[in-house]
Amino acid sequence: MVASLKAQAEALRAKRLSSREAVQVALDRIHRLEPQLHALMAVHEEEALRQAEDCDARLAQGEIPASPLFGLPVVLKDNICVKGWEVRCSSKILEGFRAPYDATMTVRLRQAGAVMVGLANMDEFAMGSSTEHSAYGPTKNPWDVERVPGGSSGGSAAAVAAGFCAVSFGSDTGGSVRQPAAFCGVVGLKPTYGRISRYGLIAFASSLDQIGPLGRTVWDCAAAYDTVAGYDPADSTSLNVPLASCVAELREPSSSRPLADVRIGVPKEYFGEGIEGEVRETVQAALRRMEELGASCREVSLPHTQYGLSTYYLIAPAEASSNLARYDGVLFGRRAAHLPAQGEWEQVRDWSYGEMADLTRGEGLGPEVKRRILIGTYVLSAGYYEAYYGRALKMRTLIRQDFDEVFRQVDVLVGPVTPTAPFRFGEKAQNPLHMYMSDLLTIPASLAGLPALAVPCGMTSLNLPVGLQLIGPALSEATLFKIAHAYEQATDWHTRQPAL
Amino acid sequence: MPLVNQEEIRHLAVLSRLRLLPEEVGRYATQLDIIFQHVDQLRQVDVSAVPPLARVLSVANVVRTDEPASPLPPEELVSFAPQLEHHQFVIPKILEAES
Repeated sequence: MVASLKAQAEALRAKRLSSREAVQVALDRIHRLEPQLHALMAVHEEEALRQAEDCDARLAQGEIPASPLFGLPVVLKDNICVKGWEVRCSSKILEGFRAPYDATMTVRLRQAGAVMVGLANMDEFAMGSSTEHSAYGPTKNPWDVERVPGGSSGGSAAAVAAGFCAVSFGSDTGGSVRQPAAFCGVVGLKPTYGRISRYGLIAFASSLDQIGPLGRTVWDCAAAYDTVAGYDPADSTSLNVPLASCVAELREPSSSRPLADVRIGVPKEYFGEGIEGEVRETVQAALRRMEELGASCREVSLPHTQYGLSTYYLIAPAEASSNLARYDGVLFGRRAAHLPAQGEWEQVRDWSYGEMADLTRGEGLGPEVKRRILIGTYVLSAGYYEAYYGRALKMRTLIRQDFDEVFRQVDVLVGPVTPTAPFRFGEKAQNPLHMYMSDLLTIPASLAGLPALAVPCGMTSLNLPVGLQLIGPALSEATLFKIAHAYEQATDWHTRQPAL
Repeated sequence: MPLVNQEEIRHLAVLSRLRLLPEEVGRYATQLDIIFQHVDQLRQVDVSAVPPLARVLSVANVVRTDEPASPLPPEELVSFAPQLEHHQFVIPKILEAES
C-alpha cells in the first residue's frame, strides 16, 4: 500500500524514512508502472535525487521541516513552469520550449523543500476530459487501463492513484482537477479563483483557470494547498486576502457527530437527467453517511445549471482563441518547415509570415485545440459577439446568482463530480458534445469562481471510483476540507488502491 | 438549416491563423454546427435586464509602483525561438505582394 503524504512526512521527521528513500520508492514505481500508464511527460530523476540528498543533508544538520511536503516527491502538470524544464502542455507546438523561469507555485514548492520528480500528461493545452487529446498519447486509468483517467489533469490524478507521489498539481478551468480526481479515486481541489497564483501557469481561459492540488487524502490535498496558496503580486488576479492553514483545522473527530453544525444543500439539478444511476446512488449513500455524522441535508435548486455547459463553451474558447494566438512559430516552440511536402501549394512563392504562422499552427495544434480556437474566433467575430459571447457573460451572472442565493441557506453544496463513472477510450471521441458533458457538474462552480473539492465516495459494480463534490462560497476552502475530512475519517474509500 | 457551414469554417480558419486540410474543414463544420445547435438553448433565457459578469470576484483595480527590476536577460529569452540570428528573431517577410 502506498503511504499518504501525512504518514510519509511523519516518518521523515521521526527519521524512519529518508527523503532519498521516499524519492527512490517513487522512481521505482514510476519505472515499473509508467510503461502501462503513461501518466508523465517527463521524469527528472537525477535532479530529484540530488534534491532529496540535499533534504537529507538538511535533516542531518538538525533542520525541522516547516512543510509536510519537505523531502517528498510531487508531480506538476505539464503547463506549470519549472525553470529549465521542457514544458509542453502536451502539445507539439511547444516542443523544445524550456521554461525560462519558475512559476510562483514552483518557487513555493522549492521553498517548502518538495522534490519535483516530473511533469504530468494532460489534454493538450488543458482542453479535454480524458487526456485523449494529449499529442503524446493518453494516460490510462490506474483502476482500469482500458478506461480514461479523466482530464485535463489526468496525468496528475493517475500519478497520485498509482503511487508516484502522494500529492500532485493540476489546473482546473471547467473541472480539470476535480473530474480526473473523481475518475482516479483521489482528492482534488479547485480553489477560489485567485487563491493560487497563476504566474507561470500557461494560460488557457484566464477568467476561469485556477491551479489545484490533488492528494491521496483530504489532509494531503489540504497540505499541498497550504503550501502554494496565497497572494502574489506577480498575478494581477491573485487575491490579497489573509490565508490560514487548512491542515491545522483537520483533527481527529471529537464526537460521533462531527458534522452537527453543517447545513448541506443538495442541488436537485445535479441528480437529474444524464446522471448515471450508479453514480447517483453512490452519492446519495454518501449524503446519508453525512447525515449520520450530524449534517442536515435539504434539497436546493440552482435553476441555471442546465445552461452552464453552453455558457462555458462560449466563454472558455473565446479566451483560448486569444491566449493561444501567441503560438505562431516566432517567439518559442516549433515552427513548420518551409513548404509542405504534400504539394498542396499551387503557387510556389516566397514563404511569408502569414503562411508560416498558418502552417505552424495547423500542424502544431491538435484537433480539439483547433476546434476551440475556431469556436472562440466565431463567437468573438463581428456580428456574433453580442449573440454569443455577450449573452454568455450575462448567463454567467445568472449562474453566479444561483449560488449566491443558495449560500444564504446552506453552508455547502454536495453532489456528484461527474455524471458517469470513468468511460472507455474512444467512447466519446465521435461527438465533441458527449465529451463536454463530462464537465456538466463541475462547470457551474468554475463559472462562479467558487472553491470545489472532489473526494472519493464509493466504487461502482465494475470497481471504478465515484467522486463526491463539495462546493462552498468564495474562500471557504478550509470549511470544505474540514467537512470532507470528517466524512473521510468515517469511511474507508480513501484507503482503496488500484491493483497495480 | 446549419448554423455553421464549410465556407464559414474557411473564413474562421483565416481569422484564426490556422491552415486546415480539406477534410478538417468538413469535420469542423459538422462539429461546430452540433455545438452551436446546443448552445442555441441559451436563447430560451431572457437576459435583457442582466448585467454581464466581467470578473468573478469583485476585485479592485490592481496598481503597483513603477520600480525598475531585473528582468530575464534578453539573450536567454530569445534563445527559445525556432530561428535566430545575432540574438534576433528571424521571421519570413511580413508584407505580401499585391497580385
